[in-house]
Order: sequence, then structure tokens, then C-alpha cells
Amino acid sequence: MLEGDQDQEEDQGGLRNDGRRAAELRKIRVRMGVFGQADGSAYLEQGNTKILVAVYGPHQPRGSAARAGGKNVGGIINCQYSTAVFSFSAGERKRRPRGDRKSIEKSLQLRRAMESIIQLDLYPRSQIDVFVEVLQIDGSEYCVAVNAATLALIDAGIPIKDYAIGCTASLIDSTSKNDEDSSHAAGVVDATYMEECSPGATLSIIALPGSSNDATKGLVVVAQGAGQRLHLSRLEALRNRALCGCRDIRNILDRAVRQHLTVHSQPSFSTLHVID
Amino acid sequence: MREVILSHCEKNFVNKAIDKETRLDGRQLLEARPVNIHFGSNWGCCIVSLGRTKAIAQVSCDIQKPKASRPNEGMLHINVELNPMAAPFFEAGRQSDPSVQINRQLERCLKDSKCIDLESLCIVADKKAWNLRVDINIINHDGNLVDCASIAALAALMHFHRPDVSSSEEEIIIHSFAEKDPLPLTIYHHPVCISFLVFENGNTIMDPTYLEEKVGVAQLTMGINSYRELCSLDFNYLTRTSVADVIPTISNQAANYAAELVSLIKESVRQDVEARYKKEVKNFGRFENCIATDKLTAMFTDKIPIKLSSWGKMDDREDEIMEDQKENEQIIKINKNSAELLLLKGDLFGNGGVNTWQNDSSSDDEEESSDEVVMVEETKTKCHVLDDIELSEDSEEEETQNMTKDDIQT
Amino acid sequence: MEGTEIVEDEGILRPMKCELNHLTMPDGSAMFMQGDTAVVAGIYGPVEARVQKMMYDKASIEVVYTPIKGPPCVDDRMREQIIKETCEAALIATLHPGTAICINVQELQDSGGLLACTVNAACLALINSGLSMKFMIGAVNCMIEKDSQKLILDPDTTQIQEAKATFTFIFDSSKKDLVSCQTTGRFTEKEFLYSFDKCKEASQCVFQFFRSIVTKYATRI
Repeated sequence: MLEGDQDQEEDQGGLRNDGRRAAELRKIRVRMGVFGQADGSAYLEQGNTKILVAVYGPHQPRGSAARAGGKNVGGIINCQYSTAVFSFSAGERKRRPRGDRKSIEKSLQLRRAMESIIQLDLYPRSQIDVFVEVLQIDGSEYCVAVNAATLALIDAGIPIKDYAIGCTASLIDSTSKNDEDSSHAAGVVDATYMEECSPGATLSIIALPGSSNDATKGLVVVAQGAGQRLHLSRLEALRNRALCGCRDIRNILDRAVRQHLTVHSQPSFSTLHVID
Repeated sequence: MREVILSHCEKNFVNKAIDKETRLDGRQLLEARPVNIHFGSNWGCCIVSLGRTKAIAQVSCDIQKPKASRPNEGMLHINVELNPMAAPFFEAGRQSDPSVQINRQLERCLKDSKCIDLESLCIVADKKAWNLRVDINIINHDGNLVDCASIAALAALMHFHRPDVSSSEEEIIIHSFAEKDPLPLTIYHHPVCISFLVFENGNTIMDPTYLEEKVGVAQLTMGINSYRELCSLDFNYLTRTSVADVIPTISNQAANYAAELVSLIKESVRQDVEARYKKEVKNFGRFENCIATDKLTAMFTDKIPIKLSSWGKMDDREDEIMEDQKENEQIIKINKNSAELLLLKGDLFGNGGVNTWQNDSSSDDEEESSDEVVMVEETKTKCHVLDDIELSEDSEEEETQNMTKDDIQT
Repeated sequence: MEGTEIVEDEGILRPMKCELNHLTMPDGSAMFMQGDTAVVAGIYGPVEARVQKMMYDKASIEVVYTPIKGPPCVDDRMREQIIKETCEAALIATLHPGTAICINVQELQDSGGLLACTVNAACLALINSGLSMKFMIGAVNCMIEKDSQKLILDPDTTQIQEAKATFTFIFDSSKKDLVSCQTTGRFTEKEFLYSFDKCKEASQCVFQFFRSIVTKYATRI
């Protein structure tokens, strides 16, 4: 099946299976404030990857996170990464939504990413909960989860230093040497599930792109490489490709946030007697 | 028990030392600790020490039904256990955050990079396949558990030999090692994890110790094989600060060291496996090589033959004991004044006797006479009471020079 | 002397090898080998006890035994229990009220007599940790061969396969009394008492070994 895909790729004139170019992102849809109950929430779609995030807090520490960081003076961030049992496409069922090694690892890395942007010194002895629910998986789900969590934090009104943006870059077939000059040689951005499963390698980066326009200046917070072998010489290009992707995603999300705020905060700015 | 929080003094001290490109154990910033590998007498069993960090790995295999998604492949299962022996804050049998992290890093490094030919482990497609299990127990924690665990896992997998199978229709025969020679695993490439730690001032060190790990701000682990290919990558912030991305600057160093390390592992595995193939005599009890023979706290004995008297002769034996005691008494009689304590010194440890560690103020002639008694004791019972049991304070100081640094530290 | 005849033989204890202070993190540790059977033990203590396990009048003793492969099974739990009870008898727990003493044992290789080896390693680690003990504990393993009814002291894996019954006796060093014992298989009372007697004799060699290693370094420090 995979071999067939690669043959196709040759015929597509440098386009990927879904018709994208190498550095092109999937369609991003954003919705903020989807829950009334939570202090902040966001729903994010990147292509067919769909993720829902709810943020509670800051509130008094409770539960296991509070006990673990008992003597911690700064704020505590509690992250839970859970994948819906129906999230896989091919009728496969995940046995448990969370508690397996991969989920625990992702919660851990999500917490690291959140800690790097939240100004925790503003919240001494309090706790912020970030709950991530992956509804549908089609590649890059961890990166999309971080993006969604950032949006939910913004929606909750928690001050952050910068957007934490995740983006993957995938080398479809790291073993082929012939396409050094083609656009795929530096990797394709925002990989789908099929691209991640290909015999190449995938690099996931969580970065704080900052507001400067130089994409490669972004501060990498969490980086994770998976998949098969990748020659070191190609790592740098892949990393830059992912950072460019981060910048693009940041711009899109930033626009979405500003739009959301102008739409929803207008009543409170203009008149006090608007009833809806 | 909770992990002890590091004091500010210690943190500042380490940070300042790193500022001056100095490390507490005298290493260069990008220098790893020495690696030692010892193999056990079973296939696929080894103890790896990386400096003071120690891990033990054992590969085992059994036959299971392969996964439905991969019907013609065997399985590889990696499990790193943070033994509470390694550090008091590890809990047995619990999936803690660090243990999950190490497990996943090793899985990515060894499993996802497809370094082992799993297809050759399939016996009957969709029915029976070998299930490999690598158990890694960390027994001493001095930082950089990932590297130590990955070296142990790789060495154990390279060393492991599985029993041969022959299958006729419907039936599978697993041959014992005596019937057919066991087969090694097919390994395509050899990835190892190399860890780095970044400090606040931007300095990067290789192979951090426990103390350094608690001070550093970002950690980087790269799984690299000897062909400079990256198999896994992990970069994480430990604390909330910002340092520049270090991956480009140190990746070259990582690749060079990985190649060095892999050849070291290969060489030690080759030596051991070849010795086994030749069925050399020293085949058994290899773990004894881990025990440093020259250390003060180490001790060997040869086989101890014990004359077994038969059931009916119980009473005789008791008489013998009485005789022994008489012998002792005789010794005492040689010098009644001072001998009693010294004479039994060898036997007194743990026997609930009189405390002999404090010296009574003794006169000179008593000392002389007691020396004689020691001599008598040695010849009679062949007990290794060392000559340096001395009474006077002056001589004790002289004796202390025999201690080496290692005796105290490790 | 009626019934099954027990044949006399000269028993042999496999060579013992030991290194105290093998690990740097624990307060006391020992690597101990009897023949090919190898075990590492590490002691932490007295340390802060967990609230559930704290006892106000004495130290609580926790034992963790980790097998070389796979998760711990029922046998391993039983071993933990035996070590715990034995060490409780030997340690003076009332000296450290409200604390915990954690004894961790890691199996390295099992070539027969694993329980005896673990207990001896735990004792050596306790000696190394400097915790106060009433007495030392020493364990000896023996078996009775199926065909010849011979008593074999400290058997290895190949010998154990021919065993009718195996015994592990744990003795104290001061009164030479039995602290605990574990048996497998079927045996007569006489066989039991006979092997008890022999193991008791052999245990003196174990204690002698303990003593000599302590003498070796205690006289230098």
C-alpha cells in the first residue's frame, strides 16, 4: 500500500497525496469558548485531526497534582491527554483513552510546553488544569493538541508569554537519495497519518515563534523525533521546515484569536444595555 | 520517600563550576563517563555501569500469537524498571513520570527505528511468533539513566541467543540449547541514546550526573546509530527558562561518540560470544568480574568443604565443639592478663561479644604480650586476623594509609 | 536408624564472593555471589516513613525484591515476606521509631539457592549500612537427592532438578538458633532434622565469611 503511494507521488508533480505542496498546511478551523462550564475552551481542526481542550483554573490545588508538587511555591499545571476510543480512522479501537505510556508521555510533554508559556509566578499556590480530548486522529495530533491548548488558555484569560505552537515535519522516505533537489527533500510540513506511518522520520517541534518574522529564530521548547532513521545532515533542514510551519500556524491562530475577540468582546466595549 | 530538594548553595556551586567549564568529577563539558559491560552466564544478560549509574538488562523470549496488524512479525517489548534500590524516591511497580519517559525514549530508539529484524522472529504467520522482552532494572542512580539503560538494552539484545525452532505442519519443536545451537538475533543497525544537558548560561554538557541533572534547565537525548543516523530525538525543558536551541551545535559530537560507543559494545559482545562458542572454561560466573578484587570491602572464598558427620553422631559433634572451646581456653592460658579480647577478635564481630573497638589504655608490656597472642591465634586457627590490629594510637594512624579513594566512594 | 537410610557425604559450599558498598546511592549495599547465583542488595534507612506504614514505637521494615525478568510473581512476594520477617527479627527496630528501613534486593542470576543468597546479601548490606542488629543472619540451602537419598549442601541448578526435597534454613549468629526456614517437596522428619543439623554446621562457615570480611575492613578504618 505504502509503496503504491510513493509511486503516485512521483506522478503528482511534487504534490502530496492530499494535493498539498511540501510546505503547505492543512485547513485550520478554530472555535474558542465552546463550553460554558469551563473557564476556557477551544476546538481546533487541522485537516481531519480534531481536538477539544478545556481549561479550568486557576483554582486551589487539589488532587494528585497538588500532592506531587506539595511544597512547590509556584503554580501547578495539571495536564491530561486523552484519546477518544473512536478516534482512529480505520475502525481500530483504542483500548483505553488514557493511562498508557504514550498518553502519559504526551501529558508530560504538554505540561512542559504549557509551563514554558504560562507566567506561573503570577499564580502562587494555585492550579491550572488543561484537559485535552483527541476526537479524531489524522497525524500531528500532539502538535495540534498543543495549539488547541494555547487557544484554550487565551480563552480562559490566563496571561501567556507567547503562543506555544506545535508543528510536525516529516521526511516521507529518508532512504531515497535521488530527490535532493525536490521540495520533498526538506520534509513535508503538518504530516497526515499516512505520511507519519511512511518509512521516513517525523520531527515534532513545539516552539515559541515570537513575533519576529525570521522563522528560524523560533525558540524550540520541546522537540521529538520518531520513526525510522534520519541522517544527521538532513535534521537541520527538517527542523527549519517545521519552524516555518510553526510560524505559519501562529499567524493563522493569531488572526483567529483577534477575530474571536473583536466579535465577542464588542458588546461590553460599546453599550452596556445590549440584551441577547 | 520524597526526593530531597537541592539547596541554593549547591545549585549556585554547580552553575558557577559549569560557567568556568569545570565539572565536579573533573570531566570536560562534552566528555562521557567510562562504560563497563559485564555479561552473565545466561544469554542476553548484562550489567552495564556508566560511571556510578548501574543498570542490569535481561532479554527473555516466549512464543505468542502475533499482533493482528502485523501477522508476520515477532514482538519486542521493552520495560525499564526504576528499582527503589537505585534511589529512595523511586517506587516499585509504579509508572512514574520519569519511568514513562525513559521507557518511551527506549521504545522510540530501539523499537520504532526497526533495528531488530522482527520478521525473522515469526514462526507461523498469524499464529506463532517469538515475543522478545527486554527487562532493564536500574540499580544505582547517578544521573543519565536513559543512556545507561539504552546501552544495557542494546548489549543484551546483541548478546541474546534464542533457541532454534523447527516446524513441521501443525507442530513446532523448540530445541533446547543442548540439541541445537541457539541463534542470535538479526540486528540491522545499533542505536544508542546520547544525552546532553543545557545550563542556564547556555553551556551544554554530555552525560550529566544526578546532581547536574537537578540543576540543568533543558535536556536533550538523541538516539543515534554508528552511521550518523538519528533514530530518536527528545528535547525538553526542565524548568521555565529559555536557552537557545543546542541541537545543531552538539549533534556532531553526539554522532562521533555514538560510533565510539557502539564499537565498544560490539567488541565486548563479540569477545564474550566467541568465548562461549569456543566453550571456554571461564564460561560461568561472569558476574564475579563486576566485583573489584582489589577493593577493601570485597572478599572471595574458594569452595568450603564441610565434613558431614552422620545423624547418629550428633553427640560426638558437640564434644568436638567442646574441644574447640578448650583449645581456645588454652590460648587464653598463654597470657591471662590481656589476651581475652584480642584472641577472639576475629570471631567477635556480630557475635554479640564485648566491644573491642575502643582501646583500653594499656601499658607497654601488655601490648607486647598481646602481639604474641595474635601470632599464636593465627597459627592455630588460621583465621585472618591482620597484624595491623594494634592497640596504641600512634600505630593506628600509620595503618590508615592503606585506604584508597575507591574504598570510601564506591 | 530405620526407614530411609541417609547416606553420608562431604558437603561443599559453593565459593562465596562479596563486595560491600557496591552501590553509591543506598546507605548500605552488597553484591553477593554463591557459586553462580548472584544478588545485589541495597538498604535505605532509617528514612522518612509513609504515613500509612508509620509505626510510632519502631521502624517499619519494607522489603522489595525485584526479579531479573518480568514483573514480580507470587514466589517473589513470598521471598520478600521471608526476608522481611527475618530482618525484623534481626534488626533492633525500636531504636528508630517512626521511620522506615527499606531493604531492596535485585536478583542477578539464579543458579540454585536463590533465597539463601538473597538473605545473606541482605544481611551483608545491613552490616554495611551500620544499622544496629541483635545478631547476624545466615542462610544455607540444601537438598535431598531423589535416588541416592544423599544430602547435598548448597546445590546448583542441575543438582536441584534431581531433588526430592529442598530446605533453606536461616540461622542467627549468636545463639545459632533457627530464625526461619522454607522447604519444598516431601521428606521425613528425620531427613528434616538431619539436614537442619548439617545446615547449622554449614551456617558457621557463612558467619565466618561475614566476620572475616568485616574484620578485613573494620581493622583498617
